[in-house]
Amino acid sequence: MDEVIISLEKGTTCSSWNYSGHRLATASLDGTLCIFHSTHPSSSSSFTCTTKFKVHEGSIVKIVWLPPDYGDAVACICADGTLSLWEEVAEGIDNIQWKQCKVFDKTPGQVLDIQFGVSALNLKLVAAYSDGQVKVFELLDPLDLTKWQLQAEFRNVIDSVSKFGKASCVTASISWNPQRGNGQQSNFVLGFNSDIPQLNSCKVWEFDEDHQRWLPVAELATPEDKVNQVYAVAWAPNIGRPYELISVATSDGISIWHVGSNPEIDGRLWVEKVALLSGHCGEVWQMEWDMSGMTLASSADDGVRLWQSNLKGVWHEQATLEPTT
Amino acid sequence: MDLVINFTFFLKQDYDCLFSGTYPTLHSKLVDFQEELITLQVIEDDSKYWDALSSALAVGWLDVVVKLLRLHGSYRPDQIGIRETENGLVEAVALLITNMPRMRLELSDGKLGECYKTKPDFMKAWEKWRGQLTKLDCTPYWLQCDHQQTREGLKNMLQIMLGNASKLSDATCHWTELFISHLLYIRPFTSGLESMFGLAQKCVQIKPVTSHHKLMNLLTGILGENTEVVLAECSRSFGPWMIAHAMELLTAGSSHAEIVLHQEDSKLGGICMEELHRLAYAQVLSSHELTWQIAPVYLVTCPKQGMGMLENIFYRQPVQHKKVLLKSLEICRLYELDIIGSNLMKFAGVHDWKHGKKGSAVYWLQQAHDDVRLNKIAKQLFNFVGKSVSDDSLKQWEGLIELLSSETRTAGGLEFLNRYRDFRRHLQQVYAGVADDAAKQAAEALISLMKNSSTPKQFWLPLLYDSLKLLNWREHPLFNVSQTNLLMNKLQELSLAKLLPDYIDADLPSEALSSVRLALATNLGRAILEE
Repeated sequence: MDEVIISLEKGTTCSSWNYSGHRLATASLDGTLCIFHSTHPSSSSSFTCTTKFKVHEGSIVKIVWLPPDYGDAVACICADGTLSLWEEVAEGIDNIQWKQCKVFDKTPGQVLDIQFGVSALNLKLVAAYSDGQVKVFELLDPLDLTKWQLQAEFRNVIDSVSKFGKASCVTASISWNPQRGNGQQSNFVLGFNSDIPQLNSCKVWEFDEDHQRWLPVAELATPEDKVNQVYAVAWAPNIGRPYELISVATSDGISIWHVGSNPEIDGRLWVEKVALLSGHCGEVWQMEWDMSGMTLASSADDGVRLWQSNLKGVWHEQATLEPTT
Repeated sequence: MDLVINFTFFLKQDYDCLFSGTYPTLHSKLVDFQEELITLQVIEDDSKYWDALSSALAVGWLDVVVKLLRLHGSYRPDQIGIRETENGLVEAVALLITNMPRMRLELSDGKLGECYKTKPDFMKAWEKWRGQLTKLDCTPYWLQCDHQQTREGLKNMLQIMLGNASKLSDATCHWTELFISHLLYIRPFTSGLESMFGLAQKCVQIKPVTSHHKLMNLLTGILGENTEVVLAECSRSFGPWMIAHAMELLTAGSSHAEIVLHQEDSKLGGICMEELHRLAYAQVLSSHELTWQIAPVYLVTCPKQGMGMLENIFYRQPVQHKKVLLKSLEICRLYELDIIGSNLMKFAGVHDWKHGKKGSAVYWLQQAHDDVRLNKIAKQLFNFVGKSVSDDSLKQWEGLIELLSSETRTAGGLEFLNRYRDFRRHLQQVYAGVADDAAKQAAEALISLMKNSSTPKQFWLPLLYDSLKLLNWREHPLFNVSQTNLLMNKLQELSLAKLLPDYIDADLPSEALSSVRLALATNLGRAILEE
């Protein structure tokens, strides 16, 4: 039972669903952003493009929706590495428009990936740059998306004194621990696709409230695959598991990691690689978990694959969705 | 035995449509014969008649068999005289079939057999019945029966009832039919699922099938009392509804299944199989706008991960639609998920705030007890009213101020806005040239504002500056000595506060402070003289 719910224009480069799956933002080569709405407000049956606006002169490479506690807003990363935020505002019921609310300052490095994390106190934005830098920004006023403050800046390395040359990163992938909840610590996982092995491997970063700094608390790589470039990472929702689940896609395949929920005596989290899934031909573009954290979807040139663990805890391919053309 | 009878009933009622012509079955054989029946002149001469009889008998369709037997030619009035022995034998077999012992409380109308309520009674009756079968099988009357087909057909039927395995195999088509014939005639005392799996395997060997029907796979699992196989078959062939509901059936009366299904397993993320399948079904329900509200019913029975899943379902609801929000809040209240409810109201409040529905936004943020955002809104209002003291655009904010101060526990300082509005009204009347009373009320409102600790410091000077006309009231001083002292003290405090880092300077003319000072000093002088 196939049904087309949206037809995307030629030149569409990326897309992103909002939190409820009732709106889709798509972006194109010419820097235009489209917002699709489901025609019936409470269903997700068919979609029409209700708003279209120019974000940038060049191509847009990634769109990320902000969490719903901060309104209907998206962040756009453009091919030249600029990062801007746009939000939907309305004076009256009919006067809905999208306004640019922030353009982040240009830096020597281009923005490769960003992700938003909701902590108990505020909204955080992690951005990974092509020179290997990682920046964390904080929103100062929850009702005003124009005011951001740089909270931290670091590199994706375990040992902060390690020395290496100038990094050149092609892509980066960030995923926040998706769990909402009071008292939840801020943590995210990050990996690079670069020419510096130390930067590449996925690290779990956690904010140390006592010393007000970000610390790497786990590294998701075995000694053999430490050098591998990371294409995508995804932190699974945890609805009650005693451990966290994180998937990491590299040239070897997709590895599934169990990560301890609480730090051990040395402050680190225990990690265990439980599966290495192969099946995709070529680079994995993106990975996404379902809301229960039991099914992983991965996409590559050859289509989308769904992965699950069976009753014996063995991960396997559950389904394949192949591109039609 | 109940099982056997239900099974027999199932075979007769439902299973033919399940197989829908894929396999040759006993049922289809009988249906075919039924069509030929009207064209047959001498029914007992046709081998298909005897085939149909033995087949129906093998699976226990006794009423069909007896009805068919009574169509035998020897019953015809013109034949009964010359075929007396033959008819006697037919009737004897029909009678034995009618009296077949069955272990059950009662039979529905039209069903044949003698009911026995207890196993010993049934066993006794069974032995007696078998004795009668053997006796009939050995009777010399067979020699007097000239009609060969009848003789052989009836003898075959007796063999079936006596449990002759090869005859049962000949009479049946599908392995399930053979299986039931064994239960009926070879293992009539079987109780529960005792050795049924072995029997099923044997029957499949004798009557192999090329393709496995999904229901047959499930049946094999059930007969083998193999909970894992049953679950795997359920999930593969029948989807998540079946598997979520099959749990209760599987655990009923089986302690093994109880253990398998309720054992928490680290491989499943620390939950048991029952919970896993309920979560899976709830997730299916949650994917549609018409069914997501049913998901909580299943999730509350999941002790470990149900609430976590429910939380994630709620956070995916489009709460900017009020109907969805209200429904979600109702469910949150029902399951005491206060924090989630608050977050949903926060989402709705922020959405409304950004979309120009400011009153509704404040209402939802108040309900969500989101003091951080309410304070920000209050601050925006302060800044707004602070800047526009002398124009009347305050009106557009009035409703909001009303709403913000309607709840006592809202963000600090909102109470001030209410007092401030009153002050503004009186002052406007004064400027409009209305009577002396308005000036007095405005003066009282000013004192009340300045006395109140919730009035932000940034407003003190603008308030006093706006009140210059009151301070310089021609007719008589509106403020007495102590009131003037209070105002002067506030001005002093303000000068000190200016040194603090977070002080926000009011957008006033540079001479404002000196004008106020002068007015206060003049008023003090006049007040002293008056007193």
